Amino acid sequence: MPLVHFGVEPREDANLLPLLLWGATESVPCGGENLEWNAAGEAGGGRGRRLNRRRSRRWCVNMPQRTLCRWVRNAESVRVLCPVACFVAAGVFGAICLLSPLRAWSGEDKPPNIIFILTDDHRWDALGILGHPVVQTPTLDRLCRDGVRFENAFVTTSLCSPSRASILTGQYAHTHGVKNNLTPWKNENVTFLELLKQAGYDTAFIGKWHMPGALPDLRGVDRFISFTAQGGQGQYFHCPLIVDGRETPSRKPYITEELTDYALEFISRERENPFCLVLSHKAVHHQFQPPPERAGIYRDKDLPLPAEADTWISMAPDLLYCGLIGPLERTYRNYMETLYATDLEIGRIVESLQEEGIAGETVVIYFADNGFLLGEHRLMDKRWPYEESIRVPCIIYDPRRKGAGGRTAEQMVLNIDLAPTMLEMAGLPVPAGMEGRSMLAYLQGDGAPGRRAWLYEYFRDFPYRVPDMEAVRTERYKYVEYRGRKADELFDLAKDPGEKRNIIRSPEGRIVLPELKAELEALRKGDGT
Amino acid sequence: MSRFATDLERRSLAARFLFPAALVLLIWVSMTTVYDNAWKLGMPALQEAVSWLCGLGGELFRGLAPLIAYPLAYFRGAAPAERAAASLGPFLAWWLLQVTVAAGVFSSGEAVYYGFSQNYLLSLFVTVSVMGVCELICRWVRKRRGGAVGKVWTPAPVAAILSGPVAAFVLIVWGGGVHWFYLYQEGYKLLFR
Repeated sequence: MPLVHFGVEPREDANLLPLLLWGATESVPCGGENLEWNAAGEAGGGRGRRLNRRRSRRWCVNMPQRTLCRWVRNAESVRVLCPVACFVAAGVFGAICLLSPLRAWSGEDKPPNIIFILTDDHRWDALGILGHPVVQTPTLDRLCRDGVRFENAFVTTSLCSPSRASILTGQYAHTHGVKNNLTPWKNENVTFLELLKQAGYDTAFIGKWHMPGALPDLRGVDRFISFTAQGGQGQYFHCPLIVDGRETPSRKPYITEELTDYALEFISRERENPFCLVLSHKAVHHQFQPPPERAGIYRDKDLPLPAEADTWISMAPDLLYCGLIGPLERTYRNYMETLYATDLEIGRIVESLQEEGIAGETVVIYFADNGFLLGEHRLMDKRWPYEESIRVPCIIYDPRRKGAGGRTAEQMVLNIDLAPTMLEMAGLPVPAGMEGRSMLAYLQGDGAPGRRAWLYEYFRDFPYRVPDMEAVRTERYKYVEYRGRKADELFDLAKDPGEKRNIIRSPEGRIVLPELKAELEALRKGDGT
Repeated sequence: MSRFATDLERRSLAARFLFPAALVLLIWVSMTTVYDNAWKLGMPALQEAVSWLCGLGGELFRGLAPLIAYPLAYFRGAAPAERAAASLGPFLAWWLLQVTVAAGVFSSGEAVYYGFSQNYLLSLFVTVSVMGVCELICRWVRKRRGGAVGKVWTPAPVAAILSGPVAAFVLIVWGGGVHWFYLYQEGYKLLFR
């Protein structure tokens, strides 16, 4: 049952009463300051809070109410005061239980389990359900059919580390500080996992962390499984893991399968609390390596390569870093084969929900940290502000919302919206510091208005020669301001969805440009729409 | 002047250095320009053919330019430095172009450091390696023609030849290139952050 366990340790040298009074007068529900997590427990209801014994002792010595201490030690006083104090303490305890988010879950108000699956470099259109001519994604298609697919989902920075930090914090890169793959994560950043943990969720982060510096002592997670190999990118085969701070050799050769196994272990634990699992895959990050049994399955498929691309577009100088040197066709097939393999592993997660009997109370959210250009604009990689790079698949499957299945939401949603969404799902308030907004209203399908425009930002990431930029993306236009020599760009996405024609100097462009500039300026100042 | 060139007529600077250098540079620039613009014609079949001929060909030509420039310069009496410079023409042009582009994004110091990233080092060492092969071939040919060549096999060209495979291993084979990349990135952090 519940996790509320105020495990008060009795002091040997003092009457219990002052301690009860201390608890009644000084402990603040959720205050955190006067309470210390008992991190010993993992799953189940045994976890609770334990009063800090040292602080209790210090209170008796230092607090102004010292005289009260002396008075209550008097036996006669205790006899008189004890029933009253116990009554007051019980009342306060009850109030704490009622007010605290750390409370017992009853069947109806129990918030859902949340499984958030994050993949890497998965561009928005690489889904079987969208009619992609090569890749099959049976699991994601099924989630789309049973859940809601967000047609216009974007990332505010198309790069792994900043985007992942944005997802965890609900903030833009310029706010959370992880601006590129070289700037470290700040430990003071608050993640949605931390807030869910405070609300009583069992939590786990499993998979790619990939933010510069050592793995953090991440607050608010019961399980933290990640890797630091290859600068935090991990490797597709035989990737050593760090399981709750301990280096652990890989148990399975292929990383996607390995991470899925750990996720299944977490899901299958017996517990009474709801749980939130972040399963953060390395796949389908370049170098796009499928497992042996999937390698070559798309060998004979005709590929829908963009007209401006060619076989050797991958010889561009900076692509050697990505390990993409070689014919574009080979890279493309590897990408799709890796994606298919990842989809099948996600299928194991979805199947497990049925087996565990929690399918009806578990929300599954699928998102990618950024897209990937596969020859469009004669580019490969992400970073750039073009649609293939910034637009990602976003699916929310919520079994509690009957009738929403198979719907497509048109509102523009962002990676910074995920944290607020998950908090709202758990019935928690969204902190003011989060810059995203919850997507829950869009799940209903009643035409809740979405944002009109949003800010895209990119900060240089040596040695990739992509300049700093800021852009505003509206439903119709995209205006990009580059730092340095590269000319600014303006695209009419309604007439030119491929962003082939920069209209910034055209008559039409001149008409809309001032408004877009003003919009960008407002977004920079945080007055976004 | 090379000690091996004593029996060769030493031609003018234009003939022994500028001509071989300009020739390979022109070939490389032509291939690159055609490749970069072929897609604008909107003819997929042509574009694909051009991508193989001029795209892949242009990339390979940077490293293989010594096969043309080096013998031309050698048999026109060019000194080793002139032969090397003529052979490195396409690489140097490409390198300067890429570093200039980088300077538009990064600081000058970062742009120079960028110029020493693995693709440029790899390209440089492959070119040097091919120069080593050319030197041995030229010596052998000259010796067969009765020229005053000492030993064909000497340490310098052999070392030059070996530099290519060694660089390829360290830069792109070792850990799929990732190990070197992260060492390079550590260097960047030490210098610029």
